Amino acid sequence: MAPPPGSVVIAPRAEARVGQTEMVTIFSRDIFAVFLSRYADDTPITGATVEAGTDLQSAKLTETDPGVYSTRELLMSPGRNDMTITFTLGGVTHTQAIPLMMPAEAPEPAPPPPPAISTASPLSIVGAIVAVYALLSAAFLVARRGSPRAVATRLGARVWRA
Amino acid sequence: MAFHAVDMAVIGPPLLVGLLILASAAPLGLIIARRRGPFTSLALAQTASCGLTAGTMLWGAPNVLVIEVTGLVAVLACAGGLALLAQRARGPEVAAGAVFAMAASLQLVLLAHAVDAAVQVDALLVGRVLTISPQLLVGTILLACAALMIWWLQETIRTPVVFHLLLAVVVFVAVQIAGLLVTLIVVTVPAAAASRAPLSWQPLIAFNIGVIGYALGLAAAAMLGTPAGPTIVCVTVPMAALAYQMIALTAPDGGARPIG
Repeated sequence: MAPPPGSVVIAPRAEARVGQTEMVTIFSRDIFAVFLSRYADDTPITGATVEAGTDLQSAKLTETDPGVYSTRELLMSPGRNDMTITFTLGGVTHTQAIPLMMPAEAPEPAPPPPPAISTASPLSIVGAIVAVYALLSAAFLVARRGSPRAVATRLGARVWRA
Repeated sequence: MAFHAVDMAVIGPPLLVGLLILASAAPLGLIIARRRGPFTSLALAQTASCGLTAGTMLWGAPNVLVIEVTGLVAVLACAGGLALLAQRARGPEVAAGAVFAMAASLQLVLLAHAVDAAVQVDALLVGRVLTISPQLLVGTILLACAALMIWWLQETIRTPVVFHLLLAVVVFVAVQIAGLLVTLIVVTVPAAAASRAPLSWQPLIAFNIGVIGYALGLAAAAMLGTPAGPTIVCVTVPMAALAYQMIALTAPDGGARPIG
C-alpha cells in the first residue's frame, strides 16, 4: 500500500503590520529573524535599524539579506514569548509588541496506525464476510415480503410527495 | 505500477465494515434517490467532517470522546435543520447545497493555520478504511443493526425528522471510517442505480451493487497499492452505471421508476 502522508512542520512565527510596513518574525534553529517589507508591494525594506527583546533580554539584529534582520543572541522558552520589536526607518522609530508561540517539548510522534491486519486465518475471515453478507441479504429479502405499497410506505414515498 | 497479491487479513476487516455501512445506507439512499436530493447526504457528511475538525481544534486531538460528541452534536443539529427545511422550504436541496458549501468553507477556515491541514483534509476526504480499530468495527455492527431495525420495523422512518437523524448518525460513522467521498457514493449511487428495479427488490439490489463496487474497489486498491477510498469510488460509479443500464434492459417495462 502507499506510504502514509507525512506532516509539514514550520517554525514558530508571528506577523504584524506597522503603518505601511509588514513585519514577519520567525525563530528557527536558534536564529531569531525579522523580515521587513512594504505592505503595498512586498518590497524588502533595507537599511533599517532593528532591535528585539523580551523583559529579560534584548539584542540588536543584523541585516543579513535585503529586508532580513537576524540574531542568535535571543533565547526562547516554550509557550508564549512576548517580543518587542523596535525598528528605525528614515529617522522614524516604531515599536511593536508581538507574541511568539514556541511549541512545548514535543513527545515522540506516535507511529501511524498499522493496517487492521487480523490474526485470524484467511479462511475464517472469508467465512465471516460471507456470513455477514448472507445475513444482511436475508434481512433485505425478509423485508421484501411486504407488499410494494408497504415497502413504498417504508421508503417514505408518501411523505415526500406531500 | 506494481501489483500485489490480495491479502484477506488486510482487506477482510475493511470489507466487513463496508458491508455494514452499505446495509445501513442502502434503504436511506433509496429515500434520497426518490427525493432526488443527494445534497442532503453531502451536507450531512461535510457537517460531520467539519464538526470533527472543530472538535479537534477546540479540545485537542487526545480528547477523542469529546471530539466525537462535538461532531455528533453538529451533525444532529444539521439534520434537524435540514428536516425542518424539508417540511417547510420550497427548495430544500438548495438549502442543503448551501449547508454543504458553508460547512466545507468553515472547515477550510478552521484548518487555515493547522500545520497538518493537508493530512487532515486527506483523512476526511479519503478516510482510513484500512486502519479500522476493533472498537469501531463493533460500533459499526451495532449501528448497522440499529439502522436496519429502525428502517424495517418502524413506520417512523417516514417522518423527515427521524429519517434525517438516522441518516446523520450513519453518515457520521461512515465519514470517519470510509471518508467523505466513499460515504457520499455508497449512500446515493447504488440506490440511484437500483431505482429502475421493481420496488420491492430495490433495497437488496442497491445493497448488492454497493457491495460489488466496494469489494472490487478494495481489491483493486490492495493490488495496485492505491488509496482505498478513491479507488472504491472509481470502481463503484461505473459499476452502478452499468447496473442501471442492465436493470433497464431486463425490466419488463424498461424500469419501474426512472430517476433522471
